[in-house]
Amino acid sequence: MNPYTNLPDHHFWRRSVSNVDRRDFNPVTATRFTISREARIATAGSCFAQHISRKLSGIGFNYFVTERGTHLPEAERAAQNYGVFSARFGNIYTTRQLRHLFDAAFGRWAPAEQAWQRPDGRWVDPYRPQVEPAGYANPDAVLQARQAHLHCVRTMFEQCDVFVFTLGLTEGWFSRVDGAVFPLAPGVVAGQYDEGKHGFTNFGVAEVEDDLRYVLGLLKGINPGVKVLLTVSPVPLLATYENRNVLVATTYSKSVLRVAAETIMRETPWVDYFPSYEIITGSYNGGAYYEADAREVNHLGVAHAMRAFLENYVPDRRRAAAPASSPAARPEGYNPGKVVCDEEAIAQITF
Amino acid sequence: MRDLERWMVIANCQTQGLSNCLQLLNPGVTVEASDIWHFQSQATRDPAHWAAHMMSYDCILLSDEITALGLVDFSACPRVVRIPPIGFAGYHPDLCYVYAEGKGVQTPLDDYHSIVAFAAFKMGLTEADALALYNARMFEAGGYLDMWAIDKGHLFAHFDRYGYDMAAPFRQWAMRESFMFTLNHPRIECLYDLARVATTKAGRTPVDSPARPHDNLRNAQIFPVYPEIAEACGVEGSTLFKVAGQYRLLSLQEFVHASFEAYRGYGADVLDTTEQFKGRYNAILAAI
Repeated sequence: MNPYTNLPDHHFWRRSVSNVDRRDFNPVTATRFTISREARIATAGSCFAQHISRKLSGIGFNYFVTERGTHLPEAERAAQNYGVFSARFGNIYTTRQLRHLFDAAFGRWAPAEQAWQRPDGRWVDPYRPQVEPAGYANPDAVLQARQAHLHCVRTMFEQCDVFVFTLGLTEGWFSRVDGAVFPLAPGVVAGQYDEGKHGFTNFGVAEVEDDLRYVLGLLKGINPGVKVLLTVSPVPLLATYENRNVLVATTYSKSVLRVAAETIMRETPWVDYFPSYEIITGSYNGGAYYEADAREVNHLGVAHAMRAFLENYVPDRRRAAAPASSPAARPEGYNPGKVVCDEEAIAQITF
Repeated sequence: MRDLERWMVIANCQTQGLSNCLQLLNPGVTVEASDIWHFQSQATRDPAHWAAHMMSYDCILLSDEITALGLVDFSACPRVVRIPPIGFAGYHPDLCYVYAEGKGVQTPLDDYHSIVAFAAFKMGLTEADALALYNARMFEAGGYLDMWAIDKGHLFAHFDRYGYDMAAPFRQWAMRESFMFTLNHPRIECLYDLARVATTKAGRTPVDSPARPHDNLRNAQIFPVYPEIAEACGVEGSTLFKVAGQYRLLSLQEFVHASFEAYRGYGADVLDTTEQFKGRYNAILAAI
């Protein structure tokens, strides 16, 4: 008799990982809450979170979108980045960005840098530099759009039933004036990098945990019934500013985020951790869930993660009626829409 | 150098692949093959000759289906090893057979039909209407998304009856891509793993290597794993059908059209599918 005797199968690699068919691997052992199909599910975070958003609405869930772009014809909204996330905030890579967004939405903070100019003369929002493909005519237009956006962000936080946040990065560029963190380094798509005004940071565990505690504490105050699902993005860094191999930097970054997610989950009963990171990166699948670049997650990986989500979080697992689609509308070589990723902009200009 | 033993493999469409795999795994053995059609034809014509012929082999490897024909008493042979044929519908839950008055109806993929197309024809739908049925909602209504788990259970029970532990190989088969071209045409890797186990049952140590025989069944029909089914199985999907003996693909539209043309030649009233597929067929009918 030893402490491992009689433990359930999930405690053991051979029983729950290596002897399980790849498509059946399910690392969720318990959930803190269930999610009904009517629950308003809001999503935010890094590129990987876009896959979650898209899949949720595709399988009949109440994907909560507060900034819909209804002033545009429906066919144009996706191109203008409406509906990519619950509000039009673009990718929120770091927890510091989330913290600033929350404070800005509730009028507690406004960044010093309010608009960046692009090489073509148009202006963008430094905190969501790619959401408006055509840019804005002037800084006032940027501010006006940002105010409308923040109103939608506030609504999202106030009214969502479940907030799904995907932690993406620990590396970021910040303003030395007020600590504002940008999703993209100044100068990549807009703005000007100024060593006196801008700096690089690589957030550690304590900082990430502190940001999450801050946001979640305030969120619970304004939305007492909210539940939160944390995930860690399995997408490696496209580039690191640390002087080390990008895969090494990735491992550090994801480890920090994974530890922080675990800490917050353990200390906060209404927060759960969903192991999509483990589903995608786990050695059991032999890299089957990455595209040829070994970085982008393919649709099979997303499907597996969502399958596990449905099986574990949805009490009624019968699918909602999926929209019928004729083969004529789905040509051979069908591919879901391209994921928009600010990080990609670095590769386009530098590599 | 003269080989130590002579073996004979008698099985279904998997015979040639099995034989090639057994040959590769057993350098000191001469492996010969006779598929069920050849065996049935020859053994029926001259059962006594075939009974004597079987006795000349050191080992006969065959499926129970061959024994059940009752044409030869294999129990008299020096050594008999049972090999389970591989059948798995998890990737192709839409695949079925269709008969008219006891005879198989042919599509461009010969005996292979689409349950959805067949059900649509029986219901009097147009080809365009039939095409519109190929979607996740219909597949779910037909129980297609459950077939992988269900048929895996059947397959493993089948392996158990033959005394083959294929759990670890199965996990590898399913790791990267669909391991079946149709519900009864497995990839060569599956037959290789089966042959490895059969070799130990025949009392020899398999000589393993990275080499593999050519995948002869790849030249035969390839029924697509529809994207909705494929995603649930964790593999890439398609709606393209490969014709046997040619590297030529048909679109779903072409396949449905050709199926309808075949059915029109008989009339809906005389067409039926077999019991094995009735559950899914009836579910599709009910969902249309």
